Amino acid sequence: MDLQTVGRYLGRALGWAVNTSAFGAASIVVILMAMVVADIFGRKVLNKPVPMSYEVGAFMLVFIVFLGLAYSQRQKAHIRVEILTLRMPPKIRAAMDLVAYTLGIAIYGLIFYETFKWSYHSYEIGEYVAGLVNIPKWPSQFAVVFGSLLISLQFLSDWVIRVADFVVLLREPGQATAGSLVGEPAGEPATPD
Amino acid sequence: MDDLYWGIIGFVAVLSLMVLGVHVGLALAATGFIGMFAMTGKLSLALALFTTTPYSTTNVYAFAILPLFIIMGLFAMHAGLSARAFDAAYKWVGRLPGGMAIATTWANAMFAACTGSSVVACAVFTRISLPEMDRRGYDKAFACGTIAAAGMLGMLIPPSALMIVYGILTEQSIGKLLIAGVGPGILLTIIFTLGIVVVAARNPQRAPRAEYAPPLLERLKATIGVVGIVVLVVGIIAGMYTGIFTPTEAGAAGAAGALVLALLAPLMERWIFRSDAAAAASDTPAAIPADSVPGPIAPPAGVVVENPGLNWERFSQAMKEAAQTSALVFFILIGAMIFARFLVLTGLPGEFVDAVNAASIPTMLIMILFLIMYVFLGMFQDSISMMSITLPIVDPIITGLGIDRVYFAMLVIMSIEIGLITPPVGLNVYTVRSVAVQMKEGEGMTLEDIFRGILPFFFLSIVALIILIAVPPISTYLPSKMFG
Repeated sequence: MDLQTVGRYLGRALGWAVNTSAFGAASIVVILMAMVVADIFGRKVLNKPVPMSYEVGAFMLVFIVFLGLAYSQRQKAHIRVEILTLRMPPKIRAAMDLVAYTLGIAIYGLIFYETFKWSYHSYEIGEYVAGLVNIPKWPSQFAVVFGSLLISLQFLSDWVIRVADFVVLLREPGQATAGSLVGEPAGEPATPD
Repeated sequence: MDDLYWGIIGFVAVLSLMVLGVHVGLALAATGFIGMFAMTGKLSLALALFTTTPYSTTNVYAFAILPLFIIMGLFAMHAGLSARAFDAAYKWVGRLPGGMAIATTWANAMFAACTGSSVVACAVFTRISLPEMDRRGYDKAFACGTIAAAGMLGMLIPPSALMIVYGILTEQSIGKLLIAGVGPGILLTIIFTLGIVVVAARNPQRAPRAEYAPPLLERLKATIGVVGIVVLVVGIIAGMYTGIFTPTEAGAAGAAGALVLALLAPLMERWIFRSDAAAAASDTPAAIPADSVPGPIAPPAGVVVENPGLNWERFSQAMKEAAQTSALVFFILIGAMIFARFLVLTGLPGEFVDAVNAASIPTMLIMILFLIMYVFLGMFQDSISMMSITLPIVDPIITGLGIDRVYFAMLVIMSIEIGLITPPVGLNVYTVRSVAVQMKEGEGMTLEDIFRGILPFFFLSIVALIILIAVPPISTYLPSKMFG
């Protein structure tokens, strides 16, 4: 197996993880809606609120955001100011993307590392939210850990694709071939116009 | 070095990174982190920003309102609400000068009550109203201008994503901000309506008057199409207002209600609007009443709602979109919180407040300068990142000056929205154009055309902003009477 094939498999595995996690985030949106509606109904009609719904609702938002984070980057949906980038020649644009992705890897890598230590500690000492039912904090904390890891990997994968582009652009100027070397699925332009 | 300078350097750094195309959330987080390290010299302090901020920014029940209102908007869209609202509005006000444009504005106001996004509103209504206006001989630039301008209502009338973000960034009651948007939203709708009447009366060729008035029965029938959504919207707003619902609960109730409407939509279309759909299908020139001699204006056919309802694919797509949008909003907010913590430590906000208080500049002047800044920034930037960068400084100043924060929030959002219809980067205008050029009615439309068409609305919104500044109760009366 050559390097390109390895890269393609890794890219596919990451794509699967990102999409699955986005599916998880989407499912939690449904559960959140159902839970809050059940809580309203329970409180106003049956006089029996869903226990701990505020706390669980807050946890769910953590899951929704962090499980969806990498997917948004894969879709290139995270907001950037493109007033300058769009006016640049492809080579400079690729370089600017590399700067952005490098920062993304660094920051979310650090967030992953820091929150991992923090969440693991919380797991070890068994931190929980006290209430009618005591709910451990670590599952939602590990959602942050997992989401940060996934988005830094996604940034890494985008970074690799951009480097490949960059090399091609240096060799044959004027040819924009986003992701042609790593076999990124088509239809995901690295720089949306 | 004085801590204060670190704050100023921080601002410059964020803006530079952003212009270089770094994601807004990353630019904020990176600057907060590096700034903290540079200022204190302690890596542990800088790393501590990353430990808890991502979690504490998202682990809040009140913030769960965001995905809920997003799915409410998506369900309402699949319920065919926008087309139904347009149909109903047109049948009632179509005879007025510029009736189609007024109907677009009103339908937008109704749609805005289910969704919190100007961009979505612009995209949806370009598809619905542009062909109708074109068919009736409207000037295309004016038609597109109307759609882009009416999209402003999306961010004012609750639910509004922008108000939610504003509330999160300034730690205010999200519910109060949402309710406060009702007044300015209605004001803007009225001003746009009057403006359209004047424009259409003076230049009838830009917006030809309809000759055909639908009979009362037809109007009532069209109204049935929006009853469900009106009940839902009034219900959740009233529920929030009286304290029956928390805002998050209002979001969930709204989403569930819109889900039911979307599921019922195919039945409603089949039973109530079947004949209309048939009429529209046979909408040939023969259907024009013979006596309307000039007759380029066809009678309003029943709007055919294309394939309303929900299937599994749409449902899962809506959920995915809600998750994705929440992720990208909080991606920025996490960065904003990291940056804000650094900024507070530099003492820059406090220093600014003291300076402004000492300088004895009239309060009104400072406020207006801020608003001009927001209109200006809105020309280049998206609303959420703009608020994330500026509010940590602007909000303390405004609070320090004793200006009502809810009132100021409405003015800021109005100003930002004006920026969204102003060149060079009027986001609403871009959206309308990108949808329009894909349709045969909007072929060859340029941004300049639409900016030309939007000019009257630009002046109208400035008028609305001035009225909002001059009459604070429009923004503050409802939230001040609100429960809780």
